[in-house]
This record gives sequence, C-alpha cells and structure tokens, in this order.
Amino acid sequence: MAIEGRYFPGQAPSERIFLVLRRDVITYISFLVIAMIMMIPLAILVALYIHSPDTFSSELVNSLLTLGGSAYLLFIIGLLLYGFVDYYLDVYIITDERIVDIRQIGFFRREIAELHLREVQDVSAKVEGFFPTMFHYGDVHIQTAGERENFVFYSVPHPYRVSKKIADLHESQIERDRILTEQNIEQGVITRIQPPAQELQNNPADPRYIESLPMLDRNNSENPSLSENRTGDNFSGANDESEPSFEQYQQPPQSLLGDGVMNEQNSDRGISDEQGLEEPGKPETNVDAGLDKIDQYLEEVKKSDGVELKEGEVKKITND
Amino acid sequence: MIYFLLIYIVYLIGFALFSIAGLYHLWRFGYVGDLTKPVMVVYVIIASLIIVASIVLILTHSWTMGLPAT
Repeated sequence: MAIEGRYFPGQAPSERIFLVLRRDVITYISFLVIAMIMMIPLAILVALYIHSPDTFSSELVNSLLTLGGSAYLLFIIGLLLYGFVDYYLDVYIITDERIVDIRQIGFFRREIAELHLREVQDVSAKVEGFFPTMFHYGDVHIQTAGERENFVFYSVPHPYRVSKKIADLHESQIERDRILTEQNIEQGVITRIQPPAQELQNNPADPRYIESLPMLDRNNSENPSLSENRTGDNFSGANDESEPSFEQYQQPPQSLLGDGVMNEQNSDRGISDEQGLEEPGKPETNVDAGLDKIDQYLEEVKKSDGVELKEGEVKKITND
Repeated sequence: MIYFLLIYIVYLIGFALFSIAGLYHLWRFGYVGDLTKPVMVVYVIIASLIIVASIVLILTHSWTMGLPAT
C-alpha cells in the first residue's frame, strides 16, 4: 500500500500516497470529439477523391489535397497531443500528510502547490451541469487556513466521496498531531520556552514579569506578589518542577511539516526512473480503490495504540 | 506548385518542434506506469505514418516548378 520512493517533487521518503486523481476522462473525450468533427471535411474530400478521381485531376487541386490534407491531419494530432499534455499532467495527489496539486498549463508552464492536511478548514463538493451529473464528476473545493488560496480539484470523479475522505484525513491528522504533541511533552522532546523578555517586561501583571527583570531589579520590584520568593510561579525552563500556567511549545518534528507552497524546481525529474531513483511503484489512480485505501488507513490509525511515528520522531509510547 | 512544397516543409519543421516540446513534457513529467509512454509511442507512429505517406505521394507526383512561363 505504501509507495516508497519519490513520485512527486518534495515527497517524503515514507510518505504514503493514497490516490492520484486526474480530471475525469470525459473532459478529454470532448477534445477527441472535436478532433473527429474536424476530420469530417477531410474525410469527405478523400471519399470524393476515391469515388471520382477526375474531379481532382488538376495539379493545383491534387497538390492542395496532398499537402493540405497532410498538414491538416498533423494539425489535428498536434492538437490532441496538446490537449493530452494539458489533461494528463494535471494531477491531484492525496497522501497521508498532504494534498498536492500539480497543474500543467500548456507547454512550459507548471504549477505545484501543496497543502498539509492540518491546514484544511473545510471541504466541499460541487457537481454542476448535465454531463457532470450523468457521469458523476465535479469539483472539490478545499478551503485553507489563513489567506492562502483555496485548492480546487476540477472535474474529478466521485467528488462527494473524495471530499469526505479528505475531511476524514484532516481530522485524523489533527488527532495524530495532538497525540504526538502530548507524547513529546511526556518524553521531554518539547521543552517549555520563555516568551521574549521584552514582552514580559511590558506586562507587570504577568506572573513571569519578575523573571524577565535583570537580577539586580528582581528584589526591588514594587509588586511584592511578584517577588522572586513566591512559590509555584517559577517558569525558568524545562528543569523546573513547578506546574506552569503557560506553555509555549517548539515546532513539531520537521517531518510533520511541509514546505508550504512549492515552486517547481529544476530537478523534479526525481519522478523519472532514468535518474536511478528507487522505483516508486504504481500508485492508485482508480478512485474507488484509492478511497478504499484511505478507509483502511483511517481504520489502522484508529486501531493503533498510539501514533505510528516515523524515524527520528519520539519513540512510540505503548499502553503497557 | 513548388511553393506549396516549400511551405509544407516549413510547416513540417514547425510541427516537429511542437511535437518535440509536447513529447518532452510527457517524458519528463510522466509517472512510472502511466499512459505517457504509450501515448508518446502512438503519437510518433501516427505522425510518422502521415509524414511518410505524404512524402510518398509527393515523390510519386510530378511537380512543376510553378514559375511563370518566359
């Protein structure tokens, strides 16, 4: 189930890819239909030529039919190639950590954006129109936290199921983060950090005010309740045994964080096997199978005793 | 009529450049096991057939220079 190796730029080594989504094939079939319609005039001319060759006895007509017909045919297949590049290289990847939107806009223009599952605010599906309704495809809108642009999966199959699964993955990620943070605190990986001194010095009412003062000024503080001898309010750091009322945590391990919006780099050929990278295997492109994998993953997370941590993170705490 | 031929040759050069760009994108940004490689092969075959057929028709046809009679 896990896809090892790199499948897209920036993929973490043990990141599990659940689903690789593309626009529904019906969106490319419309291209094919247009190409077929464009071929009709040429087909009529060829049929006429075969049926009554005398009609094309003149050299001018003959040359136009030969060269023009060939050029027209090449134009049509070139158009199909362009449409295929635009359609097939637009990919939406759902992993156990994030969502990646790779968008190919014609030739020589490619945009890659990623969104961590914890940054998902809201997910909705939209199906509008006759063909989307009949063929069960539509848009999935993913609202992001803050001022970032919303993610949109255009014309993907089964948009309702996809949106539901993304929401489930988001909730699962939030729960994992919470459990991991609690474990990190227990293990001492996360330490308490004092807020900047200047911030405390501006607020004498804060219990930590006395700590922010230089040593000579502490016992001269006008507020006796904030004297250094007060018990139970010493927030001096990780070795402190008193119960803090304020905690500021370090960032979670880097492996949980992503790179934010990512611009296309030069060496994204990591996805190619020519560079000798470990072959990642074929990820799931079938929507039903991919969504089933997400269900299995969510079941695994629910059943596990704790968070399944990756290498370099805090050791798993069992319930023993 | 030779002019048509020259225009066609220029068109072929442009088409070749366009095709190279498209095939390059499929080759570079395709994923392992997907349809990009088969499509590349099919495209090259079809385009080659069309061009070869047109070349055969051109060669089997006598072309006048299309220059005005002196």
